[in-house]
Amino acid sequence: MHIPDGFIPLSQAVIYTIIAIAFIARSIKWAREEFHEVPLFATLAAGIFAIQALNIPIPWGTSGHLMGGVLAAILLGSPWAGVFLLTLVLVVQALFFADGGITVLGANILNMGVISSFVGYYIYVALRGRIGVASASFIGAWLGLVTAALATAVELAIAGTFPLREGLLFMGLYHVVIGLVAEGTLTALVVTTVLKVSPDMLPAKARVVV
Amino acid sequence: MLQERRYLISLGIAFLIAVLAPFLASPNPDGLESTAEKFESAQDKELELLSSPFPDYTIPGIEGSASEVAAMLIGTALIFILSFGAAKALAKAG
Repeated sequence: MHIPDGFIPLSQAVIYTIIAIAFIARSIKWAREEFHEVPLFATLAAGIFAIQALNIPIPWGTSGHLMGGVLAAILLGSPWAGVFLLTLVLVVQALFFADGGITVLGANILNMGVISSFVGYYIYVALRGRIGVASASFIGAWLGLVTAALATAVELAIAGTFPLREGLLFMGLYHVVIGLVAEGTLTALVVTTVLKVSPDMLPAKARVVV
Repeated sequence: MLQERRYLISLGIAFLIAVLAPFLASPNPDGLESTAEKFESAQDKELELLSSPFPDYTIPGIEGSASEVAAMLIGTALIFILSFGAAKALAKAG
């Protein structure tokens, strides 16, 4: 879902960059005030960077991979963790690996860092007491990814790159499937494993009984 | 088990995924690329401002899988160091 350079005109890319910077600034404030788990954060960042290169095939000759914002938010107990972590990953990907454009870095941070982390984390929090951690993290990560894909489709429609209806349809369809096979499954697997094996590595807010 | 040992195991898994990804990853286009192919979306090449040192997770000048594995190892190490440094600088001592 990394938008390349040239898909969004500069005048619009600037607006997404300004919005993204506001969220990044707030995530830095969160890191200063409420965050202690430095080794966990760095290990998660390395793992999420690595697994983003592991594209899983889906039907229609397409593929997709874990984004990881919801995973980071759940394990660190705040959606701001997802924003902060995905910002670092997306900056390195754009600057060093040409994965996602540089002019559209703000849009990519907004979609994959901010929107997916917030939507996914709060769905997880709302559902975990009723349906359990595994199902709640699965559904949260899945819908977080789908929402980010739909937001991307809207941005690319405003840019004139995709037609709105068909863009929403195909971006939605592909990411509903990617969310099921990659985002939802892997997030639920990692969250439940860490909570069972190493709950003491997590901040108190993230420690819940599986 | 000591926390340090568990972090080392977790980091080992991250590097293992980084090394295996070039061999296991699907070469199919991702969801956004597949959608763009449907509409033959035009890309404004003037907005490609910089060339990256490791385009598409390869190291220019090295051939084959070794190039991708090396790029992934560099990237994973870079992300670990950068995020450790950023987190350490910001997080409260505790």
